[in-house]
Amino acid sequence: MSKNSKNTDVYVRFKNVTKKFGNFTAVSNVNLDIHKGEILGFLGPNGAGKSTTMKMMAYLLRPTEGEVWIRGNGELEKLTSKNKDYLLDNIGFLIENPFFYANMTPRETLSYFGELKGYPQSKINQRVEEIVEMVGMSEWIDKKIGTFSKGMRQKIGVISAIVHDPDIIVLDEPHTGLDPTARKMVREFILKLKDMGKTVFFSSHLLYEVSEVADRVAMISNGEIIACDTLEKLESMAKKSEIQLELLEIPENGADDMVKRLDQIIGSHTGLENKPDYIKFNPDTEIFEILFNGDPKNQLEIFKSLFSAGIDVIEFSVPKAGLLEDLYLKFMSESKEKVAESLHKREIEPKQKGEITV
Amino acid sequence: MAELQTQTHIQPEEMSLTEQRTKIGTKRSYLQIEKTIKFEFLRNGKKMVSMLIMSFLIFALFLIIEIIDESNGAIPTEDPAEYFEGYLFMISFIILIVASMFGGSMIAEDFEKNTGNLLFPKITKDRLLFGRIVARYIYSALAVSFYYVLVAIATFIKYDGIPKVIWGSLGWSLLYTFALLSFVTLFSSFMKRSSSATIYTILIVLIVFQLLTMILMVTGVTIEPFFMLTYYSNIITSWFHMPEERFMEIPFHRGPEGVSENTFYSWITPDATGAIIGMLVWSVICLAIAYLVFRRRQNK
Repeated sequence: MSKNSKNTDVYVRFKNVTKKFGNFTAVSNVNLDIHKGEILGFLGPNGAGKSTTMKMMAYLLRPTEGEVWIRGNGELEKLTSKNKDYLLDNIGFLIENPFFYANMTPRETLSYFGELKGYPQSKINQRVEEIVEMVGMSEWIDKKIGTFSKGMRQKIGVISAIVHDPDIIVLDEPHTGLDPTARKMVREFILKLKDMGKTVFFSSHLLYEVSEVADRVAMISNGEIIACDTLEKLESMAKKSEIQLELLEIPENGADDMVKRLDQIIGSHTGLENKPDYIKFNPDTEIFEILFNGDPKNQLEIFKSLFSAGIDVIEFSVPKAGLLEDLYLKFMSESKEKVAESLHKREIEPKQKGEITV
Repeated sequence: MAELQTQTHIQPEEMSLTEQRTKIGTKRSYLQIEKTIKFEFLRNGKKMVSMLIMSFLIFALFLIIEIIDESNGAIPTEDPAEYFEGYLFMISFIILIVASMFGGSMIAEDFEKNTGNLLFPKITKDRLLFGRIVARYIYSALAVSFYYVLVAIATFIKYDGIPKVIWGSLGWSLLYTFALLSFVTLFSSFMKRSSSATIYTILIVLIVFQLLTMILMVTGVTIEPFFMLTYYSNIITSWFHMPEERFMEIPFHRGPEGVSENTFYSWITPDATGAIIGMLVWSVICLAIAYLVFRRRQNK
């Protein structure tokens, strides 16, 4: 939970939320605040507990322990069976791949969804036309959804979450199974929602999609939130980041010599204490990947020293996805180590107890 | 008072969306059920047309047989009720097909096609199920009634009048349709596919219940078979001439010259009270279980 943010900004709060299915703990003690107007990316591998967390927010599943709080009409309220209709009016959900009734049109389907959430009947038709236009599908509004491609269905799925004009939008794996064009559309749509002042909570296992749009990233592994912050803060937590460097041409002596030369030029500016193999050359992309401590000052120093040394740099960038991938793998491996450690302890303890008894 | 007057002068355009939304509670529940019924009407429109066509084709088949019979010298009955009853030979089958077609996809489809992921955060399962049952029952009832209307027209043309008894029979048909639709809904609640729910229901009604009826006949059980759903369909045609004795003993001779003699026992039809209570109990039990299963069932 971010301590810096004001309580009044919190639109959704997960408070010590745990969900168990029999002996299996799908979500464990999740604490998470989602703030007004932000895009929170929920990152984790398949089966990590992302969908379960989102389903608890939709009241499709009830937490075994803990509470979910949602801001309704100005007040942050605990989600219960009594107020769920009212609180969930303010949320639009798209849970996993959207499937529609094939013989219905977007107009019929979206009107039905909007009216279920109490959207004024006199305005629903206009609203449906507006949102269908938002995704550039106006000419398809009265065509049967059964004739649509997967990408088109996804577009209808995403707008089905906002047809009743909620403040909070929850998208579960909105990029799954889409081609690059459709993914780009979803990315742009998420950013458009932010511009409209909406709060977006979306899950994905695709690092790039999260890094491109999320203001904050929450990482989940084995049902536990293992990190949650802005990319910049996660970067400083990891104490390393990556520069991608492309040169005009690779020297005749080869990439290895260039790595040695770069080490001489920027070695003192990376801010890393242990730095074996901190410069790597990727022969596929012909890009040098340089690890540094993530501090913008060091980044600037590296750039200056390269410039002073007369290196012909044609691209110098710190890609978010690359960084996020490193962070993700780091946090995941730490989480796995913890789980393995606790399992090991559990195995040892009964044996020790057994020895005492004997 | 001043505050109240101020509030009444607010135009809808000036109100926030939250204020303009249909209020939650009973009003919203009714609205959701109403919208679900309308949506289901739209969604099942084509199916409804096919059921009407099926009703018409079965009627046409009987009509053709009648015309051929009469052209071959058969003397038509003088009783319009008896004439009408002749057309109801396949009414149980028509009801079974109609109920299976509308009921099979009632619940299973949401899990089969994952459409539930879009629906359930927007509407609770009880309201959704209620709306669907109402819509699909209305369509089923219309398809069955359409058949009665066709036969009624034929009877009217032939006899210049319609016997009142047919309305009673229609009433039983509609009640049986509801019971059977509930039965199919039960299957739809735990089956993975809509088609499985449809096929299993048809097989159970046509084979399992018929087999049970035969076992009861042979074993000589005298208990009235209220536990058999198909038993209630007998009242649809029996209503034209309700027998005084509803339980029958049928002597049956086997072997050459009737060497061995057996007796079969059979209940012809339930009485009116038993039929109403029995079909309602069946419907309530099936729908209650279907609802509980539906509630517990989650989309993956």
